[in-house]
Amino acid sequence: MPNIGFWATSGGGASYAPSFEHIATVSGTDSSGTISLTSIPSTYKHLQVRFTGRTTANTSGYQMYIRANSDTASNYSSHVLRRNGTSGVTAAYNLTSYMNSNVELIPGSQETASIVAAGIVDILDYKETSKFKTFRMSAGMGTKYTSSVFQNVLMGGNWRSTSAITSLDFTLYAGVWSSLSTFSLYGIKGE
Amino acid sequence: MPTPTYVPLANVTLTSTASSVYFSSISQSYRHLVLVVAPSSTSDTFLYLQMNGIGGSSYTWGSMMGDGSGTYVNQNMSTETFDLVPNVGGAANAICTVNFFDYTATNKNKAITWRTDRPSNGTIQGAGTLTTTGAITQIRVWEYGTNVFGIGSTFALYGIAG
Repeated sequence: MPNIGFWATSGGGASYAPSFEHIATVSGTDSSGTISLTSIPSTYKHLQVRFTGRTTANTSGYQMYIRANSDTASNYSSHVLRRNGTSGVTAAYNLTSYMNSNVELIPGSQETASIVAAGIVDILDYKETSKFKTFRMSAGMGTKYTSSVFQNVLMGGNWRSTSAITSLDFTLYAGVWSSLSTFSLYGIKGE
Repeated sequence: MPTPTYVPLANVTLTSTASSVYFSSISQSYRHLVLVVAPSSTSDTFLYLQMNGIGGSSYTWGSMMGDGSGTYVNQNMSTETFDLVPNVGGAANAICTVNFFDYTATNKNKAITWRTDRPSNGTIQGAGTLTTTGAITQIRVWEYGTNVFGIGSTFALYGIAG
C-alpha cells in the first residue's frame, strides 16, 4: 500500500494575503465556568471558534451555553439535531437567555481522564448591523465511561441583536472549565 | 505580511487504486488539522481512520446519520479505528471532512469530529476519542478488507495555527 508521505506547503512564488487568521486562544483555568473571547476585532467578515472542553465537576457531562456581548437577556434561540447516548437521534430547541448545546457535551471527572469534547462554532457576518447573528455548531464527544453518554450535536442558533459581536462567552451548565479546555478564535476575511 | 493560518500540508489524487493512504511525519507546527477525503465513484464500502499506527481498543466514537428514510446512531466504545462511514452504502463519491483538535497536545487524549456526506446514502456527523496523549504524527485512512480507493480519489490535509 502506498505511503503518500507528507510534505509542507511550498507557499507558492508570489505573495498572498491570508484570509483565515488566528485571533486568540483562551484556555480554561480550573476556576471559572465561563471562557470568554473578548475584544474581537471588526476587521473580518466571519468568525470561527474551534474548541476542546472538559469540566472538573463530578459529572459525566454538562451542557454548554453560548452568549454574545455579555447579553444575558432572552435574546437567543437554538435548535439542535442530537444524539444523546444510545437513544437515537432527536431534536430540541430553546428560546432563552443563551444558545444551548442541548446535550451533556462537556465531560467531567466521571469520564476517563484527559478525554475532552470538541467542536466548531461558525458565526457568519458577525459585525453586520443590518441583521441578527446566526451561529452554527458541530460538536461531540467520544466517551470511555459508558455508552449512554455518547454525544453528537448539530446546532443552529440565533442572537437577536443587530450589534456587531465584540465578545463571546462559553459557559458551563455548572462547575468550572478544566485547564485542558481551549477555545481558539479565527477571523475569516471577505468582501 | 500576516502569518498564514489555514495551510495546505498535502494534496493527493490517486492515479492507481490503493487500500490505504498515509500522511506521515506531520508537522507539529499547528494547533489543529483538517483532513478532507473524497473517494471516487469506484471506491468501496466503509471508511476507516487510525492515527500513529495505534490499534487495539484505543478508539471510541459515536455518530448520527440521516438518509431520508430514517435516522440512525452508531457507536463503539472500544475498537481499533474511527468508522467515518460506519454502515453499508459505501464511501463512493462521499465527501468526508475530519477535524483533529489540539493534535500536538500531550496533556489530553485526542478528539476528532467528522462529517461525511454521501450522495445516495445520507449525511453523517461523528465524534470520537483516541486514548493517547501522544502528539499525532501520522494519519491513515483506508477501506475495509480487500476493498480499495479508486483512481481519482482525493485526500487533502491542512494545518491550522493557533
